Formats: sequence, structure tokens, C-alpha cells
Amino acid sequence: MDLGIKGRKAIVCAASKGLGKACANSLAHEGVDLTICSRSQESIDAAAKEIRDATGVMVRTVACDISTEEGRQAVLAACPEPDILVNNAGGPPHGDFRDWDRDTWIKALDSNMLSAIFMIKATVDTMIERRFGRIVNITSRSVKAPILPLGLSNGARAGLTGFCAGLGHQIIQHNVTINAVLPGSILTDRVRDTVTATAAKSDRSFEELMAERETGIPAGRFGRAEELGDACAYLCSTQAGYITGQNILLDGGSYGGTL
Amino acid sequence: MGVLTAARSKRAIHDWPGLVSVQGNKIMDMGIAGKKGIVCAASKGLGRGCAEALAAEGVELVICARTKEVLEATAEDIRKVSGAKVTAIACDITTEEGRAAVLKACPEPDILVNNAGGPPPGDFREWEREDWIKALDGNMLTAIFLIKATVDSMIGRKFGRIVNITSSSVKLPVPYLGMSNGARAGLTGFVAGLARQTVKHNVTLNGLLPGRFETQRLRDNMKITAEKAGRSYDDMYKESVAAATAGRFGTPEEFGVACAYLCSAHAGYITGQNLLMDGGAFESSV
Repeated sequence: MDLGIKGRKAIVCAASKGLGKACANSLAHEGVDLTICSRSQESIDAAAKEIRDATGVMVRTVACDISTEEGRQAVLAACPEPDILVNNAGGPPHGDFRDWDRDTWIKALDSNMLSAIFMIKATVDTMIERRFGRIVNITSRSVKAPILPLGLSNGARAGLTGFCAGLGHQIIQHNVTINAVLPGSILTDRVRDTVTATAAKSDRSFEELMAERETGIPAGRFGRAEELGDACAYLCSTQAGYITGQNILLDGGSYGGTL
Repeated sequence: MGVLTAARSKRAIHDWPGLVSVQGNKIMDMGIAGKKGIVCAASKGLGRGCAEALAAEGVELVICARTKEVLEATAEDIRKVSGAKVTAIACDITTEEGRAAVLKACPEPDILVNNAGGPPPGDFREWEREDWIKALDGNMLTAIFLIKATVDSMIGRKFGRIVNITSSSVKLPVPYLGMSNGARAGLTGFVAGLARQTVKHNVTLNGLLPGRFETQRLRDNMKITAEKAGRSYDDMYKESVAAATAGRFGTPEEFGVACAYLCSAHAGYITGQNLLMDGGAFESSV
């Protein structure tokens, strides 16, 4: 299906690898011109080259920390009026909430809640003017079902979700939507690294540990980053203008609830 | 306030016979007499409703609010009606000093009712980072730090009941209350995880989500809306009541009873839940 977004401009945050890169790639395959960022110039340039070579779209890169005001300014200078905004950021650390002071919380809220809100604030009005806008927040399955050691993520991402639920209602009349994709177990480098490290510390093989993990997922496998990228591209499509304020799980059926 | 409370109770008894005034009439023994409770922002409105209901169950209270006079008058009212011990701490619970003062008065509560006035309404285009941090401090982090300071002693005693008064906006966002939508949803997300880690110690955490209630805040807001629209307050009030699904607003007394139930000895298997008390306003099946 033609998603009808060829020639549109998109910002994709934290796009040098993993889920952000997959979203950038899926959008590029639809002919969307990209501005992508991550903290390392080298890795964001490498991702941009790969995407350009595969799709021929224009890809601008910005090396910055999107969770800072300066980082956001740099990205917005490269693409002040995007039609599509994909908010993404690495998650806060896990741990025990007894050890978290106010600074720890503010840092998590800055990177996984406020950063997205300020990117939306800076771009939503031009989307409204052009009567087209698609905003997708990559959050986490923890928004639907909390992940116990990830209290900072449970809190910050739920906060972003709550805010966007309200804003979604206010801008849909202008054909501007806000949705979220909620990844569950997706096979990214981060997962591979974690399992490799666990295997090295035990007497069990990488394959054995992966098979064990896959048994716990109803789909019997990890999700692929490309699948999440395609879900994101669909939510950014012309056809998805009646979908807003929704939170779509990509978790291979792991969430056990009815709704 | 005394007159107001009397007026509210009178209405509760006469207009809606199904309702039970908590003042002097127990509906069931909640099994928490002699427990210690902290109720935040309890000088009026929903916080006061919770404090009254817990005091009626024999809970020894520490209550706080910013305005000393109003808070102390409320404390005296509650003492008179219930006979419970009530300590009033005038402070701003959203500050570290405020929390320290309350915790000094009651370092090991069995019951904690988190409550705080909501952030201002407005357009998110005008909110800077400082506005957001203030909202997050007030309606998310304050509750988290009070929980952090008290949950381990609850676990140690194998009894704890934590109720966060949030808002119906957690289930159904209110468009012009974006900071409330965000901060209260954030608290709810965090609590969802923690609740599963403490329930094996008989320590529960739940949210109580008010819709529209008969409080001073509602009346004040309606006065402002009426003035702006050039209409009479009475007309607007009647119209709002008629438009409400339940045909009325909620009362702080019935809100307090719901809170007392979630704090009761009988509610130990209920945790991580968000109980909407909105007279059926939110039309959702589940």
C-alpha cells in the first residue's frame, strides 16, 4: 500500500540504531526526507549513509543529546517544520526507588517525558497550519503493564502518555495525530548485548539463553525492529488520520489483559 | 467551614437517602481503629472528606495544608465529631521541608493519603520547563517521596494502605489540564509497578480518581466561569448539575468513605487499582 507520505519531512530522534533507526528506515522507504539525531556523530552518519544508499532519500544528521534544550534547538534548526515527528530516547536506568532522589527523577522526566513534549510544542503549530502532522512517541510496554525494576520508566513514560492523550483530542481536527508504539521484547543490539554478557558469565550458550527467552513470549520469538518501524510508518501515513491518542503494543502477545 | 460541613451533611442525608453520613454513623467496621494516618491537603474539600472518614473509623491523624487557620479549624471540627487525635501541621507538602515537618509528626504511618492541589489550566504552548517541573513536583514527586519515606516501616509492620488522590483525568484526559494529565498519569504509572512489589507484605497502593465534586474549588471555578460568560452562578450551577450523568455532583463525605474503604483491613487484596468516582461521567465499558 502506498502510505501517501512521499516528499514529507520527518524528524526521528535517537535513530543511529535499534528502534529509532528502524523507524527512520521504514519512513525512508516511503520516500520521506529525514533529519535524524543521536549522541555520536560517527554512528548517526553511518546510519544515514546506510539509509541513503538503500532508499535515495535526503538524510540530514545532527549529533546531539535530544534530552537537552541545546540538542533540541540543533535538530529544529536542521528541520524547523517537520510533517512527521518520531520521539524516541534511551530509557532511564533500572533499580530500587529507595535509591532515587529528586535529581534522578528529574533526569528521567527530562529525557522520557519533557523532551518529547518540547519537541511537540516546537512543531505542532506548523503541522496544524499545513493541515498534516503525524507524531509518534516510542514509549514502552511498561505504559500498559509496569515493569517492576523500571519505576523511572513506568512513571516518566506514563506521564508522557497522559499528556498526549489530552493534546491528541485538541489537534485531530487539523489532521494532526499523536500516537505511541509500545515495544515489548524486540531483538535490538541492546538485547543481544545483554544476552551475550549473561552467556559469558554462565556456562550456557547464547543460543540456549535466547531460546529460553523466546519460550516466554506468546509469539515464540522476539520482534524485529523492522516490524516496529513499519508500525510507526503506518501511523505516519495519510491513511491513519482518524487514529489518535492510541497506544499500540508490539509485544508478540505478551500483555495478558483484554484491553 | 463548620457551617459548610453542616450544610453538606444535611444535603447528603435529606436529598439522597442512600448516602450515609460518616459523621457518627459507621457503615461497617473498617478494622483500622488505632492505626495512624497522614492525610495531605486536608483542610477542605476531598482531603478533608478523607480525614473525616478515617477519623470516624478511629484512625489517629496528622493532617496538613498551607493555611494554618483553616487547617486548625478543620482539625478541631474533626476532633469534636470523632474524638480522634488529630495533629495539624501547616506546611506546603510539595516542598522537602513540608514533607519533613509532616513526617516528623508521624514518622511511621499505617495509612498515607496523598493529595495536592492541581496545576493550573492553560495552553501547553505557554508552559516552560519550570512550569512542568513545578507540576511534576506537586502532583507526582511529592507523593513518590512520601511513599519512599513511609513504605518500609509499613512493610516492617505488615500493614500499609496508601491512597493517591489523583483525578478522573488519569482515565479520561481534560484538554486544558495538560500538566495535570501528565503529572498524575506519571504518578499512576510509577505506582502501578511499586504496588506489585509491596502487596505481599499487606501494603497496598491505589488511586482514587475524583470527577466533579461539591467542593469550594468547584464553586470558585464555576464563579469565575460564570463571570467570564456574563451569566449568573446559580443558573450555571443548576445547568451543570442537570448535565451531570448522576444528576448531581459528588460529596466529599462519600469520597472519604471510598478512601476509608481502600484503607480498611478488608481491602488488602486490592492494589494498583484506579477507582473512578465520577458519578458515571466517563463512558467506558472497562
